[in-house]
Amino acid sequence: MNKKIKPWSQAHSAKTFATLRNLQSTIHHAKDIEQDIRILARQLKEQTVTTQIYQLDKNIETNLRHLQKVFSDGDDVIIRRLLVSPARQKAALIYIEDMADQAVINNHIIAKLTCSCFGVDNNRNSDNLAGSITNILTAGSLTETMEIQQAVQRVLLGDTLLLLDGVPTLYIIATRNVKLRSVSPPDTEPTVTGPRDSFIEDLRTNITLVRRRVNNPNLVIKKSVVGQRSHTEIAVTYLKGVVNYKYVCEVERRLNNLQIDMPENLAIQNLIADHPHSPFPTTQQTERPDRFVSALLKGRVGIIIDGMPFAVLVPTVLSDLFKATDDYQEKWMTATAIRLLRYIVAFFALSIPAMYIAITAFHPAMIPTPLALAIGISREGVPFPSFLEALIMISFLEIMHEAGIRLPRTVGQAVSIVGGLVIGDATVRAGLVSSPLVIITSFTAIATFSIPDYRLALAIRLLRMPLMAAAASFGMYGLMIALLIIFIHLSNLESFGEPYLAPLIPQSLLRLDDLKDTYIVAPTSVRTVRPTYLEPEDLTRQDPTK
Amino acid sequence: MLKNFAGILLLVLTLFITGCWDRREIENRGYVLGVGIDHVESTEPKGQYDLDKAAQAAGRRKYKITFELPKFRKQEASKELSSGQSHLIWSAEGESLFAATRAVSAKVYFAPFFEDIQIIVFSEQVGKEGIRDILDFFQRDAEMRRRVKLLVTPGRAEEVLSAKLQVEEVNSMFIAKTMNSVSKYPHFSSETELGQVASFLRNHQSFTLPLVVVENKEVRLTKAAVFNNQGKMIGKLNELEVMGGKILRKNLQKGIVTVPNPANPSKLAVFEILEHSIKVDSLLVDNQINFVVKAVFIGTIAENMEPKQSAIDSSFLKKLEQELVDYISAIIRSGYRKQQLLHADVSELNSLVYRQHPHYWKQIKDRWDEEIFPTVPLEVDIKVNIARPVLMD
Amino acid sequence: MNPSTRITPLQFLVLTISITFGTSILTLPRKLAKIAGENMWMPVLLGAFVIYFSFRISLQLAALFPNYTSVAYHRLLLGNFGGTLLNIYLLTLMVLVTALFLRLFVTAIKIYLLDLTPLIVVTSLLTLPVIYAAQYGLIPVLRLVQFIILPAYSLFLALILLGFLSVKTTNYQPVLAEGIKPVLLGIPSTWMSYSGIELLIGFLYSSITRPKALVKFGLAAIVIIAGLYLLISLITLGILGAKNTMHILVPTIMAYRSVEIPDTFVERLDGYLMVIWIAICFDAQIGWIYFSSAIIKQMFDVEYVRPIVALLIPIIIYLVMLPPNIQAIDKLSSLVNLAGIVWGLIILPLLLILALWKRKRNDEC
Repeated sequence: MNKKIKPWSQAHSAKTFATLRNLQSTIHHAKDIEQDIRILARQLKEQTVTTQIYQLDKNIETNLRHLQKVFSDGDDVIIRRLLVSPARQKAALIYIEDMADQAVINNHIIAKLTCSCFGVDNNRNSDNLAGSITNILTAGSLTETMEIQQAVQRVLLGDTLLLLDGVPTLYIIATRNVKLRSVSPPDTEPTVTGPRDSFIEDLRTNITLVRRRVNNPNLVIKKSVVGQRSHTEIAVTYLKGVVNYKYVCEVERRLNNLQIDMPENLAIQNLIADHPHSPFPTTQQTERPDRFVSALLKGRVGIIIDGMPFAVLVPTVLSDLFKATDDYQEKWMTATAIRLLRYIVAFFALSIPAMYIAITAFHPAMIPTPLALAIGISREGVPFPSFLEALIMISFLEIMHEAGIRLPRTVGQAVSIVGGLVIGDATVRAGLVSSPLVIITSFTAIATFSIPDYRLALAIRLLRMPLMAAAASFGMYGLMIALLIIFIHLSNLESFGEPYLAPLIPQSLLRLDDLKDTYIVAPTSVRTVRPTYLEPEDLTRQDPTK
Repeated sequence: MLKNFAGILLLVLTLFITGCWDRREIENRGYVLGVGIDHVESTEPKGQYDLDKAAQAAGRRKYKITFELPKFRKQEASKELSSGQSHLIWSAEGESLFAATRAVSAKVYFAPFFEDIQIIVFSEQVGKEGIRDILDFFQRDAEMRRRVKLLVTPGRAEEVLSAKLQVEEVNSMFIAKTMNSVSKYPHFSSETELGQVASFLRNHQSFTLPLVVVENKEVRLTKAAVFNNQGKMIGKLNELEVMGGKILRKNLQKGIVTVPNPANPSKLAVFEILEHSIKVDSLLVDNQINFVVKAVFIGTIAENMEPKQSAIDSSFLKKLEQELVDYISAIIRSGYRKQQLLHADVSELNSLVYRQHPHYWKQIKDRWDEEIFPTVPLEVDIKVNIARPVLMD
Repeated sequence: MNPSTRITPLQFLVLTISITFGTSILTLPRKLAKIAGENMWMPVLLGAFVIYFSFRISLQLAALFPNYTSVAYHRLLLGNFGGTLLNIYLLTLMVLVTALFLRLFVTAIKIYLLDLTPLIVVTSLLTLPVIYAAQYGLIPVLRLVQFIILPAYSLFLALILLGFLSVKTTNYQPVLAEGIKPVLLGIPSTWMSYSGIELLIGFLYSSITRPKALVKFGLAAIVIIAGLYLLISLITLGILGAKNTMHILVPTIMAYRSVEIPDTFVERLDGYLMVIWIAICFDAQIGWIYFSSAIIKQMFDVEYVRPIVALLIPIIIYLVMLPPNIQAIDKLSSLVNLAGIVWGLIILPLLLILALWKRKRNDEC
């Protein structure tokens, strides 16, 4: 056999190979084409649904076909057909399996519709049924609508749709059963004596938390939808009679101008911020309803986003980021001391490594002789200049910081051991880093953690590095100039038209009252007015004399 | 806006990156803690290459300037080598002190850094020739501090810096710290800082500097060297004369006075001054100046060496007070007389005259030290009040 | 005028203080000690009265033209050519004052902080950020000045008050030994230290929200400035004494080198004083450069200030580099001082008389 074939193959080998290759490529192409066709078919089949093209029909089958298309034949969309008992009229329920409350559907809808016990009036036609449907169903909320779009939206949120044959109306029955975690204590903004609830991922719950604290019809919650594809619900919240409407209008204008798929968590606050290129946050995020409410009462505007356990507050000025809830519950003297401490500590978190570099490499005369000699002794043998030494340690601090967030909680211990032991002790023993710098680094880390606002802390961590570079080039002079450039930047910043430094630098003597809640915390009885820089409608906050 | 911002950022960054003209790590600075100034022992070259000689175009090989620097070493290492010296000594010779400094920095990689200088020691010989020209360098240099302490030593200044002391410390630091605690005592001249000496020289005012003596691993700060208004050392005050001068300057802080015990002259009674109020006035009568010292000293009996005598007996106290008055007056007078003999008004009485009689001062200011001051009479009016006998009667 | 660019009297007060109180704390004691000796604090006090007089005159003049800036009403009063000449005089004066202050500042920085760094680098580092600050016009500049002033001045005040620890009271005597004459002769030297308010008021009057309050706020500014100068000259004199003060190049810092608080972290004050002083000088600098540019902006009717600042700063840096030595700086500073006095005490009153006369003639017609 082999012998027979061999000469044949030898003679025709070249030609055969070419043919085979052609064949192979044809088959490949065919596969590609098949793939393309399949994708095309799928695309045609599963076109992006725009509900506007469908009209409500009298015939239930048409309506059902349309709705099936709208829901993209999803497997979790349940269509339950049934016959309403006395007239054997065709009806259908549409709901999403996991989002609707099965018990409500069974007990209050299906049972009631199929029950033969209601009415003995056999003459009822479809119109009659439609008229009495509100009496038949025992579910809490029932809405009639003619628009498919609204109905679809509600189904997607967990409600149930009832279709009746011969009636061009959709009945939306509230059967929502969204699984949520319960309200838990705040993680990122803990307090000593403050309330223990925090926002969760559900807009309605969050609004409840806010409403519970302000029993006032003037609390306005304006809902709108953001995100072309996600249709995320967003609630702009403010207190009528307090807020200056220029902020409300500005917030609404900016939200309306957004052209995004969906607000990725809190990315929305970067999109509506005044200065997207600044490291400093010009909006504030909070997970504490009490803080949110107290901001509303000062005349600020809040934005609650569905699906986010954080709310956004605007306009935000620098001094807002240094406030903590505890401040107002403590005695004013201790609160003032702590508030001042935060400002000072934030300054040190920003500049202490740079100061170390400036003093050791440029102006050792600024520190007393024994200290200078002690630093000199500990730096003896360190192979790096102080800038590089500090850069290594601060970079390591940043890496630890980042690792601490990413690591699963169970391995957190390991990081602290490695970080603490290896960095703190081994590098000094090995003579790679001087021991004063380890103290400086630890102080910097602790100082950074004591800044109340996380995003402000991030900005400070970022700006620390250029300050170090400036100090390494020009000592204290460079450090001072770099700080001044940061100050220039801060004074150029605005948040929703409000200067970022607003209450820290009162514009006129009439606005000196603003200082009562900035560097200091004045006694509660003295803080009688709302922040004047926000120009609230009603300035008086309280009048203890009455 | 972003483009402009980037442009400015680039500019600033370029500036920062090209910087570092003044950067010098702390361990690479030569911390000069003490400076000693002597005359050179011999102008002959030392050794084949004569490393000490400063490169200066003009000027003689006149002064030997010695720097004392701390030795930077790791703490672990110092435990093992605890017997080693804790300081380094570098020196150079020349007439210009600045050139000599440069000669030292040519020998070591850490350039001398003067901001933390503690003391400057002159040998007596240098002092006698005048320290005015030397001090110019120390005043002119921007790194020099005005709180540097100046001292004079009878021997060689370099020996004060290089001597081995009992304590494991840099000599200059030790002496400076000792001076801080000693300067409150009465027998020690307290006007010793560069800034003050500079202004004395500027005002043509005589002044004193403390003497420092090193012997047997110990340092003693004592007496005072008197410099006249030209900055030349012209004599010494002994310890009691220093105290007298200090009372005249209203500069006394603490003090003890030992007198023979009135109950038994062969034993002692010791009085400690706790409070005092001193008033020095100049009176101008018929174009003739004279000084009046009025002072009240309040204090306690620190020691009563005659055990039979009760220390609360009022007649005893009266006698003791009288004895103290006589004694303190004598101290003041002897101090004043010594100053007059030396033609050096180190108690700043001339500025008192200037402040109280500016017009009279204008006429005589050029003749003050030489002619007027040695002839001005002094009236002394002292009161002593023994407030309590401490713990025992 | 756009309401967002209007400034309040408080902002005017802050601006005046920051612009006036800059570099001259270094040199003022030396000049005054040469003339007035132990009584050098008296001309400081009297100088404040002179500047108050000049301030009132310029205020009155500006009040006659409530809707114009000084650049505009100079033209109204003296015609186009004369007004432009006067504006150029004013502009040159302000630019020279800026350059002079900067030069003194960088000299001191070079002596005490950055010995080897080239002069031009130190100068550029301080001036270039002004371009960034001028980005959004006057209001952010005001904010910046106001933001710096509180921490900088409070720390500065705390530090200079520590100087009293080393003061020797004998240095203040004798009082008026030479009579009142040296004190009066010292007053002209203080002019440069106080100058600022009389230049600003004409330019800013039209944009101030409550012009009537200016008398009070201007007086407050002058009192605060005079108080600070008085403190500094008293402390410098008290520490160094008159004879030393007149011979030391930058006596204020030298005085603080004599102050040591042993056994504390802040043992030596001079370094910290210098560092805070950088912020204070920057605060002053930004005002001078911004307003010089704003005058150019008004003269040529340009829309934005920022390009002008960017053009002006190289010129200022060049002027800073120009004087070869300290004698030239001294000569220049006495010249600028004279030019300032001519402006404040001769030209301004003449302008006021002219304006009043013109108004009277108009009324009669």
